[in-house]
Amino acid sequence: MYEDQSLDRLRTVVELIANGDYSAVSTLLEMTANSDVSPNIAALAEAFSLMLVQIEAREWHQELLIKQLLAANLEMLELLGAMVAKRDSDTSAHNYRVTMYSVRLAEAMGLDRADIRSLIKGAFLHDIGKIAIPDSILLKPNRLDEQEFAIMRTHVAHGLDIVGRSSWLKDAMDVVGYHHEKYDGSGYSTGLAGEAIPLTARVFAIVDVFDALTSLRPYKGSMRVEEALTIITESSGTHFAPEVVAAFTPLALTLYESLHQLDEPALIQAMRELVASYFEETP
Amino acid sequence: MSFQSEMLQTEQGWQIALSGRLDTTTCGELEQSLLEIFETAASAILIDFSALEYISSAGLRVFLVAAKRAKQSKGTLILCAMPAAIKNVFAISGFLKILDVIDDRELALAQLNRA
Repeated sequence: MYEDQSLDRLRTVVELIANGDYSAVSTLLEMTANSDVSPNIAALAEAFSLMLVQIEAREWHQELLIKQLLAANLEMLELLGAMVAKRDSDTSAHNYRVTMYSVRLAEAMGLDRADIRSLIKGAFLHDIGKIAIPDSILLKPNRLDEQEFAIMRTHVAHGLDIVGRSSWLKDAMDVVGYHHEKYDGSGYSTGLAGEAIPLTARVFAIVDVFDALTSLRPYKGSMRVEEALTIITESSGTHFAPEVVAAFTPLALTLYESLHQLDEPALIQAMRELVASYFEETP
Repeated sequence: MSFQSEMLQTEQGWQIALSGRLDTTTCGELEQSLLEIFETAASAILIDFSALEYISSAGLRVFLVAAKRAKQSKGTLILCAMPAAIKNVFAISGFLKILDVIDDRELALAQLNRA
């Protein structure tokens, strides 16, 4: 009788746990020590409890491994950016700024977290293809001629060739591949127009130009935010998607002020925090 | 056989020595103590197992819970000087993959001081 009752209790508890009701675990633990329970059943309860704690340990181990994997991928992302920056040092801080500008603009436009993750990867690596461009063109201090510009344009295809080789980076291809397209179809490399241009690329294009205009480059001085915005607004519908221009205009000054004085270490720190918040567990 | 845990707080962190049997009836207080310590960020705890005679599944669970909490609060949890039988239980349960377990107490102390 005693053994049967104990067995019934054990069965109830184990079935609850097997069906995902972990509140029953404490009851199971009690049964391992309880003198109301037959010794045989107490031993059985202990065995179940041991199995359970092994499962929980394995689950946590898995979680830790996934976190490590993600951290490794994010390190590689930064590493790739650092690589290209060694050839074209101008672009290092630019990559960090445009990534953060893009995220803020995307948030304002209501893009979902998955799209923003793709945008982060694509924005940070948008010019990775430049690693294949010769110094004479890449580092030329003045305007490129027609031939040189044609070669410079190939950085898009080179970039796609690079990021396309990683399954983790595949979703960066939209920005890498289409960040030079224009809303009216006059851009490169494909000549896509309007909504055919992926949204992340439409979002990125505007911050890329904005940061270029408002930064010092070897071939030009920098512009003030108001001037840059005027140029951008004038290109609404031609270069840029109108809805993106509309979303960006009210944010531009604040974004510029928050990022522009930051030195590289501060930019790196700011971006790491932003990226971490998008790549952590909660999808 | 009962259970005892001697706790010593030093500049480098807490040192806890366990003795006796750690099971359902005796593990509650230890769990509470560990979780309380890890409530403070970057706390460090070294647990010496040399006098522990038996650990049940409930005892194991205490260390899983404590290790998770430590990770959350950037704390350090080091387990050392396990008798072979005890270490075996940890090994079979896969706990050696997720916990910092060091055989030699001096080495473990050195690691605690580095934390």
